[in-house]
Amino acid sequence: MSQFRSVNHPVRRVDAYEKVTGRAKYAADLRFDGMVWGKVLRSRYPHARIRSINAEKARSLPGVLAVLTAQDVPGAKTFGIVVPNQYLLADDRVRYLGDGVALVAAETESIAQAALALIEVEYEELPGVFDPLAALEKGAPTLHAEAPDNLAVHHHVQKGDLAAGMAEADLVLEREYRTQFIEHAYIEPEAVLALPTHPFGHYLTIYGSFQNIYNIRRSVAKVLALPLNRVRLVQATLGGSFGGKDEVMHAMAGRAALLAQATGRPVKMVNSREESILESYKRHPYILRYQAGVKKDGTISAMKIEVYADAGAYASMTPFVTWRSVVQATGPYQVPHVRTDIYGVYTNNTYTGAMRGFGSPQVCFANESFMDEIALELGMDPIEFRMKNALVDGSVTATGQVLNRHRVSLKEVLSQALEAVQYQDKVREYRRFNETNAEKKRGIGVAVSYRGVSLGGEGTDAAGAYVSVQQDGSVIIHSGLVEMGQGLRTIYTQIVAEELGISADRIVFLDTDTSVNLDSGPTVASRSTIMGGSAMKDAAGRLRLTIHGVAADKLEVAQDDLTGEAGIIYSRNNPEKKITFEEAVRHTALRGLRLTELGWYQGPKVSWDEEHGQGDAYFTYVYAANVAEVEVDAETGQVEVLRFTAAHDVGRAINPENVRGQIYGGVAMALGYGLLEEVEMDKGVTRNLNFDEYFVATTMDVPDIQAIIVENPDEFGPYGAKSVGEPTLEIGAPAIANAIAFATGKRLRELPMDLERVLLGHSLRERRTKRGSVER
Amino acid sequence: MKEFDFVRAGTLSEALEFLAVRHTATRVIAGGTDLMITLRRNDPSWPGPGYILDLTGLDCLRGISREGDRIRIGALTTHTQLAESPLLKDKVPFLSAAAFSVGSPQIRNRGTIGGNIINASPAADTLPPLLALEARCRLVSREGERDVSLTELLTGPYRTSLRPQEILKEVYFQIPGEGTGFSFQKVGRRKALSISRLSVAVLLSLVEGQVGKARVAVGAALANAARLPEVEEFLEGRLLDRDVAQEAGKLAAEKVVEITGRRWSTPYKEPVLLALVRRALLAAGAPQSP
Repeated sequence: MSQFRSVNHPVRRVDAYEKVTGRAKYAADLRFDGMVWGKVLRSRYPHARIRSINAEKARSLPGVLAVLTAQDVPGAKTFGIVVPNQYLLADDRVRYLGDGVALVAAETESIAQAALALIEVEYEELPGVFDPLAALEKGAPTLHAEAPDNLAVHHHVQKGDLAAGMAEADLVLEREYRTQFIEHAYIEPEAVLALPTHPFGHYLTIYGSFQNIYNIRRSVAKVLALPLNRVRLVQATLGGSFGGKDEVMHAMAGRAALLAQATGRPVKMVNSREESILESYKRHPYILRYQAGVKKDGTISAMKIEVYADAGAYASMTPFVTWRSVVQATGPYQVPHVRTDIYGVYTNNTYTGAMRGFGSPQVCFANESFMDEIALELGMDPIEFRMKNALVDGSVTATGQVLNRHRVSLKEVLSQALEAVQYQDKVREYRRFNETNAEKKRGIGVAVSYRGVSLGGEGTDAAGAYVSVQQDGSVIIHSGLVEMGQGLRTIYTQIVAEELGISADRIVFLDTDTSVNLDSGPTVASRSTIMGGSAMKDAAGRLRLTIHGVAADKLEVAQDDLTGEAGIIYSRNNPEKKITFEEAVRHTALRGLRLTELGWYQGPKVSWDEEHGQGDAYFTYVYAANVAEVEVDAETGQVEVLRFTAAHDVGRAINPENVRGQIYGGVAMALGYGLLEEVEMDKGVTRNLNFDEYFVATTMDVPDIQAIIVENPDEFGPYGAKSVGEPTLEIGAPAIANAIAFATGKRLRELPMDLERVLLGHSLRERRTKRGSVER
Repeated sequence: MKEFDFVRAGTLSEALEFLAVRHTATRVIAGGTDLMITLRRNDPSWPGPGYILDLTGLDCLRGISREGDRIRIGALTTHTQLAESPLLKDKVPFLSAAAFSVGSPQIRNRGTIGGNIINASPAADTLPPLLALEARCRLVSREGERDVSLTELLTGPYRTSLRPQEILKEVYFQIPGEGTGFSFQKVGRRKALSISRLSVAVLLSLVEGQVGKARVAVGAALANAARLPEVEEFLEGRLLDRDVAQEAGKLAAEKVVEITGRRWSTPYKEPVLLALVRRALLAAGAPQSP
């Protein structure tokens, strides 16, 4: 029996009904009187100088209301959260194919589209650079004046004495791994609707498919030269984001607002899928060079890691993404001597930024593949090798952090996953299977991870919450962190219900609105349960104190003797002494006490010393173990994932069903990352612009998934909860790679492990001239 | 999306009359699973079709029936109907299997066998089994009907010998004799919504292990789906065992590479085609093979 009444139970999602019945309004569903359509003219080349733009013909097309270029931007020309080097509209140069060059507003979408074709842009094509290693060479074309070496960022971690550590080793192994560009593939392409300045309120309003609503507001205010209080963003129901609706939405919201101000009309912009894939940022491709020194007994003595991340044309989140990579690159192991360097490099490819995992899927793929490779060289069982080097309570991480504030549960999650799949039996079974089958081969593979929770050393980490009890005992809550499908509204509702001792159906969750909610930073880094949930608990807990104080008076009992459950406040010692929640609320209101609270939670202290590459990077960590079982068609390269087992320590599952949902979805994305997905960039030109050629895993490709929830409550989380969103997809690909290596004896070091790579060991790339399945 | 006038034919003769007059500016639509994508792509170099002539009201073009020793399939028959037809599952199970491998339930519910034939994608899934069945197509225009083999109809990638005034009315084939074995093998990048990377259909009659008739057709290997006559000849009269199947696979791969030359995809397709042909032969040759 759970000690909780709402939390830790599989409460039904509060936003499920509207979504499954089609009633939820997404940004593209919104309409206003007098609304006009905005469109973007994008670059013709991945790298070019703009000599001139002639918009006369477009302006004179009937139905066109405005054609705008960079010179019409009233405020800053650029935006960006870390390095503000991304242009709202290209001024004299385009740096990738998705750059916006001009904007059109017109009475209809088709007129806007037609007007784009009438804008005459004279380009001078510049030599481009499309490979991060080539971009670092002397004499390579450069993208940004402030980065003459094309280096967007360099982070390092330095621990111990690398040379001494390598000298102690009996075996030194070196391997290179590569990962690919990945599209978020949210089901809803980007959309916004901007209303011009409200005539009385003196503020403008933008509805849209926003993830990081406060960051987007900051950029819009900056490019429009308005103070923050005059820019109001309202989040429409979000059709998926996975880290993706951030910078691309800064641009879209800023552009729509610019058009709305220019025309005095509501402006709607909706990307087609092709526009979305062309313009929006991707997950970084990495080149990862791993070297490890290992002793005969299987102890890792040193690791040297060098990573090159393709940042594409703009900095976006590259400085933060690569920082998480550098912290976690050695994996969840005790390594006494470490040197890790990561370089984020500008190229004329589509820019790269935040995507679920945020710098971990790449290093996890390399590191967990590498662990299996080392074990194989040592002639050691890969599980035994991991157990031998695993982080345990009190271990010191690569960044010098002593793990003594939470349960280091790596061995526990791994053991639970192995037990659930009956790992040793499966190993024997698949070996036997492979001895007797030539065409089909089976394999089992394991991967583990540790992951820093929330933002860590990236920056300020705090979140707020608003909880307001109405006089009839119903409750309104809202939050500056956003629902994007992950279940935040349900989690927060459960927390407030738990604290107030009422059922979840008494609570209504308001839409997120930057002018009303508390700026809680971005909804990223799997931080909304631990940060925003703690803030909700804070606000609701204080309301409980107020209301129970009044109830204690009425019932003439000590306040700490009271508890609340299912809308009744009663004495633990004498349950006959009770009052309904409504009645207690009514008396509280009558006494003139405040029934609305703002909650706040500030993350515990973290530290990062960039100069020495050391620090207490995150205030707590989560641990995970995945096991993939595969069947490989040895003659066609087809890989079928037969079964997948994922064990995650989440601290406490606020909603176990939601945690399982996160795991299922994460595994599906990991499977796509491992086997299917790649945005094909051909010299800066995106080749696959829709889902006919960009392959995400279908429901038929996703196997039975066994989700194992491990709970080691954390002192910093609400009810002990930590996080689950991102860890669920970071180790699926290496688990599958290890299973394929088990099955075929061949190690694949590049993603995706598609038909050609599995069969031949390398990729084959078509030089396409056109898309599609129909010839006219 | 391209703009066009949409015309829905009430009767076959109405459709043929329309085409006789306006065929140069008209595209025919059935399920639309290929054409809609082209229309939505908005390629600026293509002015668009002018007219879209919708055939989906013509019930006479729908359905699967047995006529004596033949099966006829109306052009508007959907992949779902092909996949679920008890007659096809009994007599030519590899055609049902191929239809079931198309796209997704939504695509199979809309896409038609006529569209699959006339769109003539090199990777069209129903074409290899239809070729192995030596299917024939009945084409109609205002001027009358003509009858051509599927092989003659397919002239290249996305090209057929259908005249612009004509509509494909139905496809038909002889019901293979008792004891005929079938197999359809397909490799795609995933389990659904996946265009074939390669497919093979085999029809085989065996008498005491010896190959009587062999029909081997490949998809996504050549400019259009096609039979491989040299492989069929090689097989006929031989005792089918693993070695012979392997040899036939090798020959199939050789013939395909001979025709296409070595291309970017050859290092993959050559060994995989060999394996698929071998598997298809052994599956079709196995007793009570599906």
